[in-house]
Amino acid sequence: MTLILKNIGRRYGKSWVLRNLFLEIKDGECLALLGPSGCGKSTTLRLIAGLDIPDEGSIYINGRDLKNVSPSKRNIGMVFQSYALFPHLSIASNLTIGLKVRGATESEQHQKVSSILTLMKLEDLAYRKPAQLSGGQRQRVALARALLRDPEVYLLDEPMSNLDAQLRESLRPEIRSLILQGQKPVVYVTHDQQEAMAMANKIAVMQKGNVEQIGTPNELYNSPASIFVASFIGRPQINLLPPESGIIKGIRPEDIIINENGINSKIIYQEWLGSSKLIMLDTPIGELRMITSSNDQIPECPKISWDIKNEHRFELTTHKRLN
Amino acid sequence: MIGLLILPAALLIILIFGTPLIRYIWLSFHASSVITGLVPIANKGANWQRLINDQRFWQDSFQTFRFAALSVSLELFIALAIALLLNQKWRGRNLVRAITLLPWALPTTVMALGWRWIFNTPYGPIELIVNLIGLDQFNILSNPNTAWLATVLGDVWKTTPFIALILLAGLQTIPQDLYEAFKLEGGSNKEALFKITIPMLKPYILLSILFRLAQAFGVFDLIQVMTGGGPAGSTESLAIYAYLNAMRFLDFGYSSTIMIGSFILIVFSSIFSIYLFNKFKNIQGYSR
Amino acid sequence: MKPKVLFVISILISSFTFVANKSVAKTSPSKHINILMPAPFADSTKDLINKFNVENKDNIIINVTRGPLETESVSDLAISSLMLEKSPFDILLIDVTWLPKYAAAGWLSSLDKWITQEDLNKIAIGAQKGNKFKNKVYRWPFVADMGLLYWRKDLMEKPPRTNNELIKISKELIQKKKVKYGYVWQGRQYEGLSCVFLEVLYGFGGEWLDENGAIHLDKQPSINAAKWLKKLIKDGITPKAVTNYSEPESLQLFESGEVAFMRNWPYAWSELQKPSSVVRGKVGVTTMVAEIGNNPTSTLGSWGFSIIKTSKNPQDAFKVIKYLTSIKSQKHLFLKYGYTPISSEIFKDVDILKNSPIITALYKGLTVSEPRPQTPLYAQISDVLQRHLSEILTGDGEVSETMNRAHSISNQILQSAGSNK
Repeated sequence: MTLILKNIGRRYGKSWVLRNLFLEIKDGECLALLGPSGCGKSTTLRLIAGLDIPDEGSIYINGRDLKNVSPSKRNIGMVFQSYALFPHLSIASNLTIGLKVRGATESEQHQKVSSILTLMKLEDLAYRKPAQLSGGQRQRVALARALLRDPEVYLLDEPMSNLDAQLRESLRPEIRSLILQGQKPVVYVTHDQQEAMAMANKIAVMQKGNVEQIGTPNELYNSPASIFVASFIGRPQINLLPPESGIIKGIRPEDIIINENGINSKIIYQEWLGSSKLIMLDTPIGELRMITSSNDQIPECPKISWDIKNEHRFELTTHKRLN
Repeated sequence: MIGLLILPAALLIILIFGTPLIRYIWLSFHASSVITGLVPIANKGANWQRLINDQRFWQDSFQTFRFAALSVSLELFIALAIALLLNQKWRGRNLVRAITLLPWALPTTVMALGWRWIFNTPYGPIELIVNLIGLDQFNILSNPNTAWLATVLGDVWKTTPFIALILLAGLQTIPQDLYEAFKLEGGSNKEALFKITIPMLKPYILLSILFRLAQAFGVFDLIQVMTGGGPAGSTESLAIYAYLNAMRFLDFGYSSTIMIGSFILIVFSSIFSIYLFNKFKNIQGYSR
Repeated sequence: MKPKVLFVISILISSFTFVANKSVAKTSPSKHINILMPAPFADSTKDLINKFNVENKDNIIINVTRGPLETESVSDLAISSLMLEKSPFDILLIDVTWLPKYAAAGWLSSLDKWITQEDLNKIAIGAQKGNKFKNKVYRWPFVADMGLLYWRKDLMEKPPRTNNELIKISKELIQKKKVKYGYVWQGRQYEGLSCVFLEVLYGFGGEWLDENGAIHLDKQPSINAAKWLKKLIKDGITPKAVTNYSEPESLQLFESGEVAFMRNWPYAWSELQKPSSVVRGKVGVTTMVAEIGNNPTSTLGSWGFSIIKTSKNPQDAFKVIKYLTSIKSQKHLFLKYGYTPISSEIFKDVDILKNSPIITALYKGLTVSEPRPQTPLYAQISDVLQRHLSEILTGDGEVSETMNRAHSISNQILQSAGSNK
């Protein structure tokens, strides 16, 4: 089973918010749509769900063209950023309502809902209203609802952005295993590159309605296709050197090393990150970020360099990768 | 501490709302009319006995109830439709929103005069249309069986926009997400109306019912102008009866009795209508 | 009810402040006399009052509060002010039916000390009525008003004098398609219906409430009168819609030329002379019809001035009343606004006779007019009558049964009041 987006375009008035989008997500694959707000990632999700209609191109699930298929017939499990739980219904009813409108028998409803409640460890909350739940619990209910649908495709729209950082990290593996367990295509929208790398086995980095690069987290990190991708992925951000004969060079902070033969620099400030530390250096070619182990003793004015292999080179005008 | 802080406000409210109520209750146990030279003379519940045996009071209660019940239900129904329409996105929506509010902004007496003219026989537009079609004259305001329906129409026309506005405000608090989630769950638009919209509008609907019931029970100027309570007293509301007793008959004792009597009826029927609404909701709902 | 009262009170408060401001602004020793009048009267007396205020500016200043347009709303305002015990008004312009009620409530000053029998004799017979309560004069008449029969001069040679003649002429004219209806009157459930009924009742030789306080609604003339009105509608002589008609609707229909007769007050005359009127110049005015052997009778509806008991300057207030009801003022108001005069003298005035084609008819009407029952409980018994008449006119019930009911309810009202005394 595959989800395919072919040459998708969407515009509001005259401006295109999405253009020439090609995506293919296979069963058991989790594609993260990553980008800043306004890049078109949420629009893409809505187009797949049928909540919005593309102006160009087609969407297929397992070869079925979704044109003119209403959202209710697309068999899609979606987790909304707001969770979109029905506030007037209990948790159990929130889960039952879909089964009911899809015409499941009462015993079926009961059996399915109670098994998902058990799976998601929500039994004790079954008769509470959403307002009585914590953020993490609500998120679980939203996920449970999507799982209960037994959909052909999972769509997750910033599912963890309303949770605090600690909870977010602890939930990642659980969610990842739950959604991948279904062996269905998963599309995961986020603006958090760390989350994208943790959750997805493929990431599409988007900007201004275009996909800049699609690849595994590893590929995006090690060979970013453009300056945008290079800067968006990896924290602390990549160092971009001043252009030199039509080329912009990028060096990741961890690739900078102390070298007696290197260029002069002076420490502006340091930030402890735990096992490592970030050092901001003033050099003749501008300010540079450097990461070293926290144990390393760095002199006040270190000489630095980097391995030429670790240089990322980009064309000055197009910002595209050269090496 | 907090109790102390709200004390002045509470006293003010009791003073403003409580004083007249207590005064009316007190007066309802006194004869106070032209006959007594307007001096209140205690008469041991004679007013209340009169009220209970007063056919006209019960007839007016019945009239007031059917007026309130029919207008409020029609208003809710139409207002919901209008609110749903105005909640959609379409060109000129803002203009239409403003226009729908016009009847509400119009003074009741002015619009009641308008309705009286509209129903005028033979010059009103309704009779003209009826004439054109070749039907007999309606004489809607001249017939005791139909005149009250005309007053309901006037009331519905005037207050539907107000309820529509309340419901529209309610609709706008429902996140679009919920409808999208419901659609993805396989629900249709119609199902969404009954399973999401109406249950979530419940507080707004209750507010409208309460507000409008209280208003409709006190209907005065609309009927006074449209029919004057006639024909044959068929459209007379409790408020008109109380008004007649106070301002025309100068019988303040009995007028107070009518007012307190109708107040009791209003309280009970409001409680009853909310109970009914909740019952209806539970048949529909999933809430447990 | 409550919002209405609040509304009235707020009007009162604003009129208070208005009056107060005025008196603060002027520090002259002149006394202020405050009068509440319905809007039309306040407008038409403006010239007279300005003149008075200029001539007497060191002595008495008249302030007029322009009340609402509608008669009963003026009463609401007046009553609300009187209930406050310290009424802002010295003089009220009141309708003939309010007098017993206001007097019984103890709100009015007797005018006896200023009025002689001679003064009273100068007033036209009809206008003399309706000013007394328990043999004391409480009101001095200002403008007379009475029910009149308007008829179409172009459709008949002379107006009908009996009930049957009116029906006969109407039927003929309807048959000949000269008119759509024969006779239009006021059939809405309101005070006007009582007025209409009273005229018909007198025409049948009946009475509503006699001098001894007995009700006669169950008597044959009362039943006949109600039956006659019902028959007019049933026979198509009067439009069915009349049961929601007050004066303006009747006038509108008559003005369109589709009706042969109309019952209305004198104000209709000048309306019918306007260019927009289809029947302009084709209308005559006469007294009401009656059964053979009975005299035609009009319902008296006059306005007059009363002095409020709490007034600090009753003497000056009466001076103001004298001025506003002087022969000169009456003439001015008749010539400019068509207000029916109250002094006999004016009806014989050559100037006036020359100027008005209906003055004779007005005088005749005034001479035969009778006030409505003069009891403080009039509003109650009139309300009962209106409801039951409305029931008769719009329903299929037995007329005598309904009138009997009206009779016994009216009796109850009068009796329970008696027992409360």
